Amino acid sequence: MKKIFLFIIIFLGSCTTPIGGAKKIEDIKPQETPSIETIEAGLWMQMNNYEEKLKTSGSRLKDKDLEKYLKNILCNLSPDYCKDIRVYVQDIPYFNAFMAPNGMMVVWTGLLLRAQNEAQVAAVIGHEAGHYIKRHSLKSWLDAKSRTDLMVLLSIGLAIGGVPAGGDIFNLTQLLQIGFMAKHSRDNEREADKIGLDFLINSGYDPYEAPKIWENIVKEMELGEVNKPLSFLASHPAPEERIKNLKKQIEEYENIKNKKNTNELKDKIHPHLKKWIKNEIRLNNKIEQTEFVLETIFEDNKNKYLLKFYKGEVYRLRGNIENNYDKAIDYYNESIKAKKDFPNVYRELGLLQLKIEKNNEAKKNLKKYLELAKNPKDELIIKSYLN
Amino acid sequence: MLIIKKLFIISFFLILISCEPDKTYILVEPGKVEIEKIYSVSTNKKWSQFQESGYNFIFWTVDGYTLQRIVFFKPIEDGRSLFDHDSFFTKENEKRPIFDSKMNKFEIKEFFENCIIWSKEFTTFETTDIKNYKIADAEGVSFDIKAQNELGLNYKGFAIVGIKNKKLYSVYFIATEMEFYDRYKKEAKKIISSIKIL
Repeated sequence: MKKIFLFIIIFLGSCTTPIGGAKKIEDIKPQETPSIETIEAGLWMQMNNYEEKLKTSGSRLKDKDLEKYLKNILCNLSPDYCKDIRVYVQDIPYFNAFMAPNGMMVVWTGLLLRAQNEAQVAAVIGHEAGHYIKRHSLKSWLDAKSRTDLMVLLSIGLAIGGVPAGGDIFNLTQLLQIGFMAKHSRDNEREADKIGLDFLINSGYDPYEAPKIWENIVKEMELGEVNKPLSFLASHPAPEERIKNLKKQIEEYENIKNKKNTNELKDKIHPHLKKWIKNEIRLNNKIEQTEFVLETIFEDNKNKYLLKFYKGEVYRLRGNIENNYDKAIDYYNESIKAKKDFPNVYRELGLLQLKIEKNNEAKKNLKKYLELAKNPKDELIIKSYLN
Repeated sequence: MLIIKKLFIISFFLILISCEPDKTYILVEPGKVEIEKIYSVSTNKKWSQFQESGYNFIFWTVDGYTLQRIVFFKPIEDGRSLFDHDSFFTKENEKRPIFDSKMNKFEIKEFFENCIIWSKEFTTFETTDIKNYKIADAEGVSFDIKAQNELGLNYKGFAIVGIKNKKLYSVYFIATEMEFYDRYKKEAKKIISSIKIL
């Protein structure tokens, strides 16, 4: 009996198509809404409730202009679905964007901070729109439901067959279930990547920016602490696999244009840049990881002084282990070399020098700060240090 | 026998009534109040004081934690964080902000801000208008607070933080911008300005 069930599990493990649940599901048409009696309508209702809360949530970024800008990108990519998809920005410092089945798209500020140009943002938005058009949420839900039912049957079968619930085979079943669901999800992700790429090229964006955003994520992950999940279990294609697939897909196209639109994106996020960088530094990730993110943000050499300043901040905030203060001071000095009249760097440099008892230099820099900042709000506190 | 039985039952109930279970909330009367032998303050109002072992703070409220509160943190030493009880907010303990007694005034404000943000109590939290401030004889700063929670509820408040004997002392008042901030800010200012470190 045990052998029969083992055979079933191994057989199922070799299956490459979803079992029973996600049958052929047609693309959603523009302005289509599901009939009230369907499962899809139920999913929409749940997400409509979530969306109502998100609209007034404290985590929603209060910048309608930025949301409008992202919505315009969507409408350029996919005019047919412009009316169906709403774009929200959540003030969360991690790289993420997601698409709900009811047309709600959410982009996190961590993603916008890392995007180097509009084409990269468009690649993400196009990809998420692909999920909506292909009804991937519904497919995944149906698939998960059918597998769960099946796995329950299998578990019962295993128990009847004498396999204890806490045994290895039970865990293997669960592992396969997660792997199956993840694989189906990865198929959806590949499909969404293809759709996103089509949108990108048809709108005149440089499609090579699509794999580039993932190349940066791979580099960042390698510098960070988080171990990459097992490829088989990751709900997205492993970034390397994704980059490879995207580049292969791009080769199939001709007459590719090169639009990147760096400036508009940078202008739109500029009012939030200081806060987002502060939030990024607050995450307390590995220094190398944070430095890489900063280098991505300031890759143009126009604001080198800011790159150096924020690198100094990263080291300062880690405390004086492994000569962090010396490194911070070096970066502050490099920032001054790049731009001599940026007040904040003199303040941080002066305060840090006070800490390590380089008092004369500290006072010189704090005085310079007061001179450049011209009646700053913290003037009295700085003066108390000078006295 | 019947009398003994009755006496036993009555005694049993009397013992039960006299038992005082651990009180999470106690009533604070107006006047001079000592808080956990850390601070003494003066107040003109009655407050409910929340206290529970294992938590690094005590708070006062009238209408409930979410509507208004004055939070008195116990002093922390080098290497500690304001919220060190990891069951309370988040499990990312290794990334929590850490206090260093050599922090300057800007850094202790920054540390306070980072701790509140790390606790994820609010989705946005900003501090403004930093000023020199002495908590009794502890050198420190005061600053204003503006915050918003996940439900979109706006908050206002103010805080004081200071270092004495290499320990960080911090107290803050926060209330919903609508209604409760204006109602309680005057009393909160009086309480905070009356603080003495014991």
